[in-house]
Formats: sequence, structure tokens, C-alpha cells
Amino acid sequence: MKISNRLSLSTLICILVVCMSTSANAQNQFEDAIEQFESESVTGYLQPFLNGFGANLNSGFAGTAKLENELVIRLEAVGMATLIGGAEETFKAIPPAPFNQQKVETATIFGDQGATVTGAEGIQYKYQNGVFDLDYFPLAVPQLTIGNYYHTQVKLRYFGYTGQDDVPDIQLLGFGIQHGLTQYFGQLPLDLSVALFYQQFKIGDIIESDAFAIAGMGSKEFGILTIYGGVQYEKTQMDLNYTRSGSSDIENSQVDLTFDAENSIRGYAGLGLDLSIVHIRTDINIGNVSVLSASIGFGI
Amino acid sequence: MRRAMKKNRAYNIGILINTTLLFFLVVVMFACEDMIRDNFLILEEVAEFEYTIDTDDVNYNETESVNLQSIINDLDSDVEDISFYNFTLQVTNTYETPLNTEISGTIRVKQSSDSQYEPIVNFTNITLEEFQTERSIFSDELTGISLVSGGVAYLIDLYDQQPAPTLDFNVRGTIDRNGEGQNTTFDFTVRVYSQFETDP
Repeated sequence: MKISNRLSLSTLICILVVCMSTSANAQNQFEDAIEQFESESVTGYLQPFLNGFGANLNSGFAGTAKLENELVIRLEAVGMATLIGGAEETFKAIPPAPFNQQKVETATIFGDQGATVTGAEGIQYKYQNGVFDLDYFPLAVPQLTIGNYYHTQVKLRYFGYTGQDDVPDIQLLGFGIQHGLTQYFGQLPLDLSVALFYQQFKIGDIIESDAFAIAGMGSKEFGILTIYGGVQYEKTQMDLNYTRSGSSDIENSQVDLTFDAENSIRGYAGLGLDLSIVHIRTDINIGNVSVLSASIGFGI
Repeated sequence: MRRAMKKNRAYNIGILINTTLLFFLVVVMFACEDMIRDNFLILEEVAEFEYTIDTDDVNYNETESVNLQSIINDLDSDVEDISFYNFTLQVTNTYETPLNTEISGTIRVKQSSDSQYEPIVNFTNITLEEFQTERSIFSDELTGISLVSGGVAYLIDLYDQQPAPTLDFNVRGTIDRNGEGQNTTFDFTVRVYSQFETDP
């Protein structure tokens, strides 16, 4: 028993070290790449990231609309992924003066090589290259569900990392509340609920993102199997605040802007399995951005 | 017996939490794996030289140097390529000098170790007022600025050199005070906008 515990702990530590070293590299490159952009171009470069990130963040909250007055305490690991296609790898940008002010297609943060424009006398301007090489954009968050009191349960998401060396602070804080509606309708062929979620994500001093979602959900139990689905309105914003590198104009080198993710309405459907204290579910979300989400949870 | 059951339950809860965290971390690790492209990161820098012209003469002649290697060292990255994409002129301070004062001249460049300058751009009869706006030498919005054939190509070649050289930028020319004979003082700023391809 002691040996298995030691193995488990050492596995965790190894994974943690691998993840931290990988994300440290990503973080620096990510922030450095952003800081080269002026406000006119940075939104195009980051739009697919915000779309995917927002769609992911607003996924995987709940797997049932049946909220009876019973004790529920559940710790889940929720994983989500959005597909990254060709459309997410490029955007159109206007080159800086003195180059021809016609739009050129260049790489987003998910793209490969940035475009190169040539001007008078052979001078060249090279756009920033892409940073992430992904076929899908993944995200994983821990979620704690506590309920049910008056057919209501709360959901908490938290992940924090205090920056060291070149890695900035990272913090996710999310709060949700889901309320069962079945009680108000008497006999219904399925259970119904509504939910509200708010999440805030910070990366260092540069990026702060807020995600808000309101969802209506229905579900039907067949023994240990639950089929669920619903519709959701959501809004995700990203605030960028940084001093642009390589700018001679100190007064105008401060970039402070807010822009929105493009997804606002989604429909989703999924399947859940309740195996005593183990709870597994997966769903597909269709909207402007499509998301696959899956989770495994433990608890009652 | 009851104590043993409690201990067993606590152990099982511990295992469950541990397994949940393990699953979470495996998902994160899977997400991190090979997600970073092997691309260069492009950093931008502006080399700025301010020439203070303070003379009662008709002629002026000032030189400033930039050590490209010291810029590279400050970047704290492996620089694979350097290039410049804009070159601008601006009068940043005029002090008491009338704004209708006209200046003409040439910007020249050379490697510090060389003796011969290469002209890049000429400007003719441009008032201080017109130069209060930053002007690109590649823009045709202001008449009176003309590129010297081969000068820009020479500067591009200097930026391509390995190791990165120290460059001397010289501005020299004449001042037309429109018949007024007072001392002329102004700050003439040259900016070279550069890109550094770095290996993160």
C-alpha cells in the first residue's frame, strides 16, 4: 500500500514538472509574440484563441438536469477541446507604414509562418509567426459541485499558479449555480434546469478574460445512463493590457483593449454514466465554435 | 472495528482525489505535448538617434553610432536575422527657431571601421514645421525627400552582416534662415525600425 502511494505521488510530480516546463516555454513565447503587436492587429492574431478558449471555458458544466434535494459533493476533471482548422490559422492585416496599405493574409497564433511584405527599395516587413501547432485547442479544469439545497447546486472552478522566474501568474476562478425546474411542472417526460456561470481567467499582467453563460437544460435517466442536452447563451471577453515592444511613440505604445469571442449561442447534447461514486460524461456542443467535452468525477 | 472502517474510508477518499488529480494532470500534459511551433519569434526594436543642431553657421554636420550587437545582447535571445523596415526623420524640438527655417541635407551611413560614408537619402528645402511630423524616407507624402540609388541596399547589406556591426549615421547639410541671421537650434531625430528573428 505504501509502495503504491509512493508510485502515485512520484507519477504526479513527474507530470507536474513536464507540464510546468512545457507551459513555461509556451507562456514566454505567447506573451512576447503578443507584445509586438499594435492594437489594430493583435485582435486578428488572437481572435481564434479567444474563440476556442471562450468556447472551451463555457463547456462541461453539468451532465444532468435532475436536481433532487439530496447531498451531492463531486470533484471532477473536465476536459474540453475545439477543432482548429485552416480558417483559424490566418487573418488579414494591414501592414504598417510605409508599406502598401492593402490587407495581407498572415498567421494567427495558431498559424505557421507570418507573411512577409516587400516595400520600396526592397525593404521587408515580417509578420509575427504562429506559436501553437494544434489540430484542436484543449483545456482542462477541475470542478467542484456541491448541492442540492432547494433543488439548487453550486459549481466552483479554480486553478492557480503563482509565477516563478519567467512564468507569469495564472489564475482561473469560476462560479456557477444550477437550479432544477422539474418541481414546478409536475409530471414531465424529462427533467429541466437553468444555470448561470461566470468565470475569470488571468495570465500575468497582460491577459484577463471573463466568460459568462446562461443555459437551459433537459435530461432523461435510463438506469445508470443519462441523456442530456440544452441551449446556452454565452459571452466571453478578453482584456489585453501591455506596452508594445519596439514602439518609438511612448505615449501611444500602451495597448489597452477589450474584444469579444465570436460564439454566443450553442446547442449541446451528451451522455452520462453514473457508476456509484464514479461519474463520467461527454457532450458535443454546436455553435459558431464546436466543442467536445468530457469529464470524470468522483463523489456522491 | 469502527475506527478501522473510518480509516479505510479516508484512505478510499484519498485514492479518489489522487486519481482525479492524476487524470486532470494527464489531460493537461496531453494538451501541452508538442503544442509549441518551432518558429522564430519576431521582436521589434527602434534605434533612435537625436542630433542636436545648434549653430549660427549655414552648415551643420553631426554623427551618431549604433552598435547592433549590443541591441542583440540586450534581447537575451538567439538572434538569427536582423532587418530594418522603416527609416524616419523628424524634428523633435525647435526651441526658439522659427518654424519656416528650411533645412537641406543628406543622411549617410557607414560601418564604424570603414572610412567612406554611403548616402541613403537627400532632403531639400524642408521647413522645420513640415519635419515636426515623423516622415518615412520611403513615403512620397512629402516632396523634397529623395532616396539615393543603392543607399538603402547598402544599409540592408550592413544589417545582414555577421557579426552585427557598429554603424555610424551622419547627417550633414545646410540651413536657410530666410534672410534672418539668428542662431539656429533644433533636435533632428532619425529612427530605424528593425526586426529581429529570434529562436525562443
